[in-house]
Amino acid sequence: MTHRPARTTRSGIPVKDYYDADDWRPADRGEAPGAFPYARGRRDHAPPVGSWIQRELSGEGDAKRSNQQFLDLMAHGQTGLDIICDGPSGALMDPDHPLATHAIGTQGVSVCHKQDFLDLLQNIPLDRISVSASFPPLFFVPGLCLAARAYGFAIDALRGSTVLNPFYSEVSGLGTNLPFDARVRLSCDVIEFCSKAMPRFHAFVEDTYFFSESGLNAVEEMALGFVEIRHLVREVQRRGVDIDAFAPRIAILVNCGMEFFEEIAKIRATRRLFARMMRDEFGAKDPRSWSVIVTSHTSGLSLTPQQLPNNIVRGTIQALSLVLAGAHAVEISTFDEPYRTPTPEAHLVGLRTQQIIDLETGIAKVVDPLGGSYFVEWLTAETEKRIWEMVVDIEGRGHPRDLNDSGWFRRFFDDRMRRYLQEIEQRARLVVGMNIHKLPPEKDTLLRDVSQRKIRPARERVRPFKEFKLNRDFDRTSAALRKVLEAAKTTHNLVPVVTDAFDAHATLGEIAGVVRMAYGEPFDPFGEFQSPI
Amino acid sequence: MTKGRVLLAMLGTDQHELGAVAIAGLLRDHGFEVVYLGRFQTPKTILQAAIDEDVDVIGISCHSWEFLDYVPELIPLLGESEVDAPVVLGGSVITAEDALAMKALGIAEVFDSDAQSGAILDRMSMLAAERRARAGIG
Amino acid sequence: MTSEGATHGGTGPEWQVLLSGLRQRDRRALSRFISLVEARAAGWQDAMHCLFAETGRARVVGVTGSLGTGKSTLTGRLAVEFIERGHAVAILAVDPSSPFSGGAILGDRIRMANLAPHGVFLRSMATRGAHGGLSRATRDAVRILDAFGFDRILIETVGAGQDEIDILRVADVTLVVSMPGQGDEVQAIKAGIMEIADVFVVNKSDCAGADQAVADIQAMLRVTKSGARGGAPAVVLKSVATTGSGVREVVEAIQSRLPRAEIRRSAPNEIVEEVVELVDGRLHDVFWNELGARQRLRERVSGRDDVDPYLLFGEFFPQDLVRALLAAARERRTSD
Repeated sequence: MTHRPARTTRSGIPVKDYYDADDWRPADRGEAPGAFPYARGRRDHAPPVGSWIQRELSGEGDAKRSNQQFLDLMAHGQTGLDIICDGPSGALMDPDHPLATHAIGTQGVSVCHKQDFLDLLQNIPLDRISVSASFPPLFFVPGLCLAARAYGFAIDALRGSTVLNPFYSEVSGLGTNLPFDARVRLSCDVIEFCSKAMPRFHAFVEDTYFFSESGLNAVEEMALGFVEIRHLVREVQRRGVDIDAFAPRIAILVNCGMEFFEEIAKIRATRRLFARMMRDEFGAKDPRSWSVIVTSHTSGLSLTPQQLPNNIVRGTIQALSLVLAGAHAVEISTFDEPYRTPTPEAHLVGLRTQQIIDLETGIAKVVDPLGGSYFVEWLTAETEKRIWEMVVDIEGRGHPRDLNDSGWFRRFFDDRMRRYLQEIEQRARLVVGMNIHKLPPEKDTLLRDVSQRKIRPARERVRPFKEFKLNRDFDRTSAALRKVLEAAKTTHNLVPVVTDAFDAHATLGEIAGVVRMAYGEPFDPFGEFQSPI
Repeated sequence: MTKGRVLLAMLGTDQHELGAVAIAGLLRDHGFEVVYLGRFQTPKTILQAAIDEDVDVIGISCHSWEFLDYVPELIPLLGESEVDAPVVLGGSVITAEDALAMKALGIAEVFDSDAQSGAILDRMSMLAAERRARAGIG
Repeated sequence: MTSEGATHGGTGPEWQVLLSGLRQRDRRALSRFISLVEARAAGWQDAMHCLFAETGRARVVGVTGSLGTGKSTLTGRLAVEFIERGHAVAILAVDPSSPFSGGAILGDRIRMANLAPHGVFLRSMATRGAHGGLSRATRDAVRILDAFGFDRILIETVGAGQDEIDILRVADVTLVVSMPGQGDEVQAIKAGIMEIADVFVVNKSDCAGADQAVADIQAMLRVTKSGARGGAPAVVLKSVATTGSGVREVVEAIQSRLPRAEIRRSAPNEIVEEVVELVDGRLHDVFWNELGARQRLRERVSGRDDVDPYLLFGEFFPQDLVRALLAAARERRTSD
């Protein structure tokens, strides 16, 4: 039985059998990489255009174990770090929270106080290697600064990034139980602080990857991303920060699914939209503000628990599209993703995939080799148009806080989650091994032993952590927490006071709880802990 | 008359809601009333909701391994309070071995990523109808 | 004794056991009682009759308003405030059933997760085809909770439409929650509710437009007849449910409008309406379901699109109805 592919892309863009010169929008001809509007490639940067930062998302167990993981990956040739925190840390809970107990360190690294940050980043050349992080907004930068101070690195030399996701986190699986306004404020505090103190650090990475994993297509992903970027940019401008002081350090971490050319077009369209928006709407003058860096993590949702080797193929194809699109950094979602946080074996396969593409294919020798392809140019323009239409539509529906509070975002995501699974079930979307070309379970054994290994929660952290809380100089800690509470009630930038609080041995959960209190919410939304101050 | 009242929840810090949201919609579209508890639930909160709402089936959506540690707490807790609603698990992270272990603990059914809507609905209907009959709700 | 809604078990539920459980404050018995009455299980009316004498102490507060107004958060705050004043609080959260599938998503528990430690009983109910915003069994559930010992029962519904006014009949005091910036404030609150609700709360009043929203409602109230039972005129208040600001004032406005008598009894015309409703419900079930009239009708119409509904009506009424009434009367005689 042959299956004719649907004649639309995944986002529903109808495609013809072939394209020719008439499909290439005249306005787009004559564009060059590294020049406005940057669809063909960003401005020259380190690493040079044509190569990319090769890394794998990592972090597991406690900070020391994760540190070792980073060193191992670097020994295997990865050229950047990207760290993800575990479920409890991501939800701003300390390991001694009752809800944390079965999840400590199993989906990322358990980090909750200063020593954790120090252990996490030991022996990492912070001035030479880019350290990116998927942590709740605000909390990574203070930790990074403390580690830099401890290991003798100048703060202004720090490279890397932190993702910010204030709008959609609560409805896409990264709930922190912070109110909307607090989330936006924390994000803006980080952007503003870093624009002054950490000029080489990308404090504003719009992470469209994580929320688009709720079944969003490329157009929806970027539209929601742009809505968030635009809002945060306006908020930071409202604080009196000049656009060119922070826009150069905006980056976008995008998803990468299986619709090969659409993912490429999406990235090209994103760079073009960003450039025009920055120059023509926000009035940025610095070309570095116009040229946005796009990084990517390949889609975990596209991977299957069935026939695990297929996931290696998927990761490869996705990485290929990212390299062709000029992504600045690439992370491949590993073959064991449907079951667990990456094993060392799966990490290695992901890295080797990138290295083979880099060193054996020659693809990266030429920038934007697909430039001038009738189809790709047409699809880029079409995607650009649809993204922008959706941005205008969403912005027309009201203030994002209202869309948040009225449940509009929630319904949007719920709807896409249902749609995605319906498409799979009804075979409107074919996924090899899942709804077509299946194997009976007894034959489907390859890589299963690796992928189904489990990590026990790092509960051994809990006792030393409780002792640490008992033995610290609590007068100093509580004074620092009180400063955070006071600052959070006003418009003081929270990064310095939170850094001081971590330095005074306050914990992640305590600092977050105190911020909640400043916004009128209970210290612990689950009522398990009272505020210590 | 309703097909049954189904509680849906996610345990601990397991926040991936894609499966749960989809199942909630599926059940609703086929006549079930879904008491949607959402994320951050514990055996205690599930017990309280199961009692107050007198649900016919308890469904837990799993995307992390936390269920392996929570289920051994949940089943006895429900038993002590004489809550007789069967507990089912769903999620692609659940391996065949996990499923066996969970059933040995008293889980009534495990839906892995191969489970089709039709089969899920049939099983849920059966479990709900049996429980309603036991409870005399009908 | 009627055999309405016969279950597959011959004798029906163990009502006596449940009643005694209820009196012993066993929450499982309470919860099961509600399920059985909601399902109209055999003997339910007699069971309700048994506990009717123990009702009348609870006061019922209806909280209605559209999505996004922060209604659930406010309801949770009201509950805590009542608890702090020494009341025993239960909440019924009513959500609409799908008119197509009959199913429902009951998601209000999520927004009230903080109430568990306070011992609040929270029960979600779907409207199950009823049209006035509440389900047929909501009033019954209120009485069951009343008999159990809850003296403040909050009913939260979405009803912001013109038809969803059942809450006004069931609640002693009805709140309508809105928020600034919903466009024309008055448009957001439909006519029926506007005329009879007691307390209007503009929530999220820390947002721009709150004062205007209050002014708009006050203006409308001056024009329409307001005050549910000819008692205190309606009042418009502001709140910020997330921080608790204004909640105390809302509770005071509610408390001052609750019936004073220790045991609250329905007015005669309310009882008449309720019995009419109960009989209507029973007649409907007997005629259309138990006696198979709906099935016969379906067969008569089956596959055809040229049937005159008025003709069919003439055929079904009064013959089938008379037959149904006779059958029902016969049953009563044999079981007396």
